[in-house]
Amino acid sequence: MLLIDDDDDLRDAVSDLLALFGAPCLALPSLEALTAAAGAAMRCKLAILDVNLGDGQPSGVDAYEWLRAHGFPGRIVFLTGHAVSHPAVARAASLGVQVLAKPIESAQLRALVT
Amino acid sequence: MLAPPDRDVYAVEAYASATLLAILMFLWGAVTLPLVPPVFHVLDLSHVAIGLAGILYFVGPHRRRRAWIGYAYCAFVIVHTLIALPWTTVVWSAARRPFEAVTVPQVAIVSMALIVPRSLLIGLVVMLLFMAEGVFVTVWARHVGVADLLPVGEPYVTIYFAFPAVTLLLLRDQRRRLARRHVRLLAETAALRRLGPVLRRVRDELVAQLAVVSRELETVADRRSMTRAVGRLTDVNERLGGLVDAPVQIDPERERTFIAEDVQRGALVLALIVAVMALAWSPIAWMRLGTDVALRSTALGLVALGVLVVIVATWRRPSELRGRVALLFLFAVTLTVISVDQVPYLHVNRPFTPFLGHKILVVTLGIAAAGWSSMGLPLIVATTVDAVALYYILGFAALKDRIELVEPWAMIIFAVVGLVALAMRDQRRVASLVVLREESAATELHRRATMLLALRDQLNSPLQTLVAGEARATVAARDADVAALRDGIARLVALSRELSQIEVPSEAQVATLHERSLTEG
Repeated sequence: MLLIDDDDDLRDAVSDLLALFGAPCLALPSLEALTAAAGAAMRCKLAILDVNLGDGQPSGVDAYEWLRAHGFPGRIVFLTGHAVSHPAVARAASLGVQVLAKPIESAQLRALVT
Repeated sequence: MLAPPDRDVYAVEAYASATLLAILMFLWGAVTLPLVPPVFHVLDLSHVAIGLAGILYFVGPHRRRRAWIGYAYCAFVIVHTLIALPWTTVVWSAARRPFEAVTVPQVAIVSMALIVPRSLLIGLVVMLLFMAEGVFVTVWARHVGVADLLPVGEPYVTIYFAFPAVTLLLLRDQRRRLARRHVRLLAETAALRRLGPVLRRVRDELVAQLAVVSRELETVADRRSMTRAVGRLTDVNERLGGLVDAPVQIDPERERTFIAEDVQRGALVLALIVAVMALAWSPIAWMRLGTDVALRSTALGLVALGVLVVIVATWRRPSELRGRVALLFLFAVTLTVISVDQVPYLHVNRPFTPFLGHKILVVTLGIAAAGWSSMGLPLIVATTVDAVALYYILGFAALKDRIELVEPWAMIIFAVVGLVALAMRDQRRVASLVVLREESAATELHRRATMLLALRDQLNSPLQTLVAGEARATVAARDADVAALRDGIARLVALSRELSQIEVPSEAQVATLHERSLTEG
């Protein structure tokens, strides 16, 4: 599976956990890293995208559009620490994609990958 | 449908209007009853009775004010007066004293601004109706052949009263909007202040749970990312605490600027009204009272224009001292000129309205003078005392064939209107200051609310790290006891969820609030 989040600790903790669940994870910090690792990313069956990837950086929504534009075949969900009223979250929700609020429980994470 | 706070504002205003109207009715009836012929006694007795009933009802204690009662009373008295005035004009003209009929429309024109509740437009219409009835005195006197018994300057003098009256109407409308804005701001800041205790409790619980999690993390083998997450949560929580504990500061400079602007605005209003009235009076004075009066009036108008120029030129650098000096200087010059101008009336062999300038000045001071006790009250009292003293010094009491029987009481009625206008202005000034403080507080609280939103969001990524880290520790070491760690993290997640439930105005809502404040200001 593919995880894009700009928080290093979160990426490490979640990808380690997913590995323990038997779901090896490609964890990336940004859209730029995604384009660099496009080949590996396109083989994933699930993408979990943080909505906000840092000030002045392309957002998770941009990453979503890039993935879809490049024929990503799997399911995509957004993960966010922002309130639903936040404009970036509202934009993500308007795409008709599931938006999960941080922190999600480990059981919920496991359900996503199984 | 009005919101309850707006309804309360309108009800208070309706009762204030009705009380003032009742006082004026009672005063007018009581003053004129012993002075006028018996044909008017029933009318004056009705004024006394209606006024007394109104005073007793509206001044008394009320569990709940109903605006419609105030509106109904005002409407009844206004209609009653509008119907009675043409009749009094006809009767006084028949008695060859049409000059007796002009004062009531003049008082009504300036006091309607203080009396008609709720609507600027209705106030304007009622004022115009009374002005029309004032002009009717001239029309009727001409019709029945007693035009030479009209007071000097009619009907223009009556029309002139509309100028301070319109200014009063606009000020009252401004006060009405201010009161509504004040009520809304109070509700807004109260709602924001209620966040404080909730945030304090959340912050304290976060501190306690973070301590638990830090302690329990010692038992976890791979804990580096989780330890950093706890550090970040602690940092965010400290900033959250800083938002809650810092006192709300009000900018004293904003308040000083407002007071200076208010005093200068008062001086500007006085200068404008004096300039317009004096220059408009000059040609009439030249035709009816002679060159000296016309020259003095023109000179007064030019002095007022000079003051006006100074105030306008320094508008962007307002000064309380400059405003006060300008107002006092113009007051002194105006009072001197209008007092000296009473003398020529002695030599004009026709009816006249004494203390015309004094009457307009007391009402204008009510609109313009800054501060109830420091300037407004002494200046209005000084003008009234000057007029009453002149009445006796110049022997106007012996000219009852040329001036109204109710003088000098009519002057006192105008002084009452001026004092009420002054009290209203003072209320507006105080309310404006309170609104200014509430606006500062609201702006600061909104800024903090926006920061709270940002901080709240920053809690969630480290929390996700902790949740994932705890699950990893549980899966990796099945025999490890991480129950206390799990409980601590679960409590942190619950607190984060609680924070996310707190409603704080969005930036768009804050912008709307400020926009509303500006448009209503």
